[in-house]
Amino acid sequence: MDEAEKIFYSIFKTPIPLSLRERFQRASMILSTGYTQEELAEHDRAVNRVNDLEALELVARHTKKFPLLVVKLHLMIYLAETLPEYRSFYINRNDTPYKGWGFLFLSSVRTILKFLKGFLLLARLKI
Amino acid sequence: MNEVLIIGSGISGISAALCLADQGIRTCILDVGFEPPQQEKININLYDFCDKNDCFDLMIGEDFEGLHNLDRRKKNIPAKLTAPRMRFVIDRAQELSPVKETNFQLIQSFAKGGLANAWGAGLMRYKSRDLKGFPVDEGELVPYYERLTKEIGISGENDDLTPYFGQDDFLQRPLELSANASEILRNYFKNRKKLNKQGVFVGRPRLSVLSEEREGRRSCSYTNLEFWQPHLSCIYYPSWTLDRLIDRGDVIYRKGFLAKSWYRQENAIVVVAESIPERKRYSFKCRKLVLAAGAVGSAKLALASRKDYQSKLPLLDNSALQFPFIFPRRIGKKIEKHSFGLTQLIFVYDSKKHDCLTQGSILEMTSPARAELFASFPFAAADNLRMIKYTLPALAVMQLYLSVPPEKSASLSLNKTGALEIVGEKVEISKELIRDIIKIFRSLGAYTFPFLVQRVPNGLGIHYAGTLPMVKLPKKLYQCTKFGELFAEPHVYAVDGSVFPSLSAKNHAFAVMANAMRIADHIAKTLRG
Repeated sequence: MDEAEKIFYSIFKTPIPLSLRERFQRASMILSTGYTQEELAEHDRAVNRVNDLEALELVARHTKKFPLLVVKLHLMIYLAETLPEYRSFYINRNDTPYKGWGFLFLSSVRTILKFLKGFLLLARLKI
Repeated sequence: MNEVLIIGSGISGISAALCLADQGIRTCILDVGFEPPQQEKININLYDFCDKNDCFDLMIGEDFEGLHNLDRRKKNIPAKLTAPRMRFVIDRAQELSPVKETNFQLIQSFAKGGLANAWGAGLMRYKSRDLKGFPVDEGELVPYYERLTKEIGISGENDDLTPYFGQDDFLQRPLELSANASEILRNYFKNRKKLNKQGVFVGRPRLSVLSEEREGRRSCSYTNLEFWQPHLSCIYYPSWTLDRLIDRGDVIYRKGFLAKSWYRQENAIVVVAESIPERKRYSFKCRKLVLAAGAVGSAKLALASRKDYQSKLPLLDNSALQFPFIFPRRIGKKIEKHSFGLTQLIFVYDSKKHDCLTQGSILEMTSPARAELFASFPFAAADNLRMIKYTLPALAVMQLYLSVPPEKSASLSLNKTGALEIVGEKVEISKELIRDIIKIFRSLGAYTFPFLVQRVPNGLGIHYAGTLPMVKLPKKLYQCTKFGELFAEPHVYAVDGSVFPSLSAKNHAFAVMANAMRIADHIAKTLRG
């Protein structure tokens, strides 16, 4: 899997649509220009060696590590929102208060687990 | 020679031109005048549109303008200005007027109609209390507020906020409220006595948004397009008045010119302007010059005309805080598709305890992209998305404005390269005030925590003022008379926010417009001898 596929899969758990992949690559080129060679190399290493980029990004976001990974994951969130087939990930169209509260609880637990995993991945990357 | 030459086509320039046109005086407006891209208008609800269409062009754009705030090399700007169709508002600003900022972030516009193309549409009158330190009293502005209300079409209500915004007998009925805003208002009425005793007042905003059709403009259709599409028919923009004045022959609009400076020549004032894009210099003669390029633009012109690279002028902007609020009972509810994306309610806290008057605009989050909120949630990416999906219908944001004492104003100067230098001051905001406001909102059914309250960076309040203040007896350069005439510069008048000697904790757009008309009225009288 290439970078776009990996990032997309880590969030949406589906293969990336073609149009989105092309947009992601174009946008990535623009956004990457603000980073040093060292940061770019660090980012490439993380993307090549880690499968669960969602976990790594979570820790990176809170520890200010791998800034480009954080930006690229956010970029994917921006781009996917523009496609009708992914709007359901963003917008709740039915009254589902129990589901809402349930997800709030489950998401909190899942995030804690992802956070722990992210720290392990970060430690492994440093080695 | 032009009788009156106005520089800038924002709220103040157009208000001045309107007042002069009312009295039969034809003006020339000199402006850069960028316009929105020619694109097919969306006439359906944002959600319906995005369900059926790829929204890449609408939200991101071929040049990836919508990703502005992801780009590390760029400073963050309000989400509304990143939308591809709204980018014309700030197009080429840094190139046309370079600024070196320290602890301040300036937003400039060279669009036809200025920053008002992306305004929040709130129109609140400055009352006597707000005019403390002004050489003008409230009564002098009232006739112009009324004239503007007729021109613009304002929706709202005379309610508990009337003592703060003034009685207005020409208002259209207020817009429909969202569910979250309705809950706040319901709880406010339940606890009204107690809240009023604390100095808390909640009510409907006065908006330049039509709730009823008027003169060919449609009423608000709650499409959530406020962040995405320029020139919605229901919202008033100064460029519409400008177009009407041009059509009637009351204004000669010289588009594509960036005014650089002025000088005097016998009985005339000569404005030097650069044409865009040829970059050639042209001269425009006039009897009266009206500076309406905004508080920063007008000050820059004044400094450049004197080749003054030493003076530091004060620059005021409201300090602002953003409070995100959650309404627990609405978590998991479906999105309110039929909604107005700008201000729903106004919160006024006239606190004796804190000895301050603050004002907040409560907004729904139905118009901006969900991705804009992504970084505000602390969860893993997929969980963040779920959080946004299920909590967004239960979210509202309040932008709270605070007044800034003149001694805490930023400073503005011009360097020899022609760039502006702005240095902001750190303004402390009481933590106790934040805690008290959170407590008040709890009684209104809305919850948040102090660590979620965010400080808006200096300058992004976008209520600029104070660079060329009006005083009773001007004694210094860069001060103005009561009628906006610059000291030692006869026949040069400032009519924009630059002449406000202080800023109250409220949107000053309506007061700027009324004051511009008042000054224009004076100019008309002097022209008639």
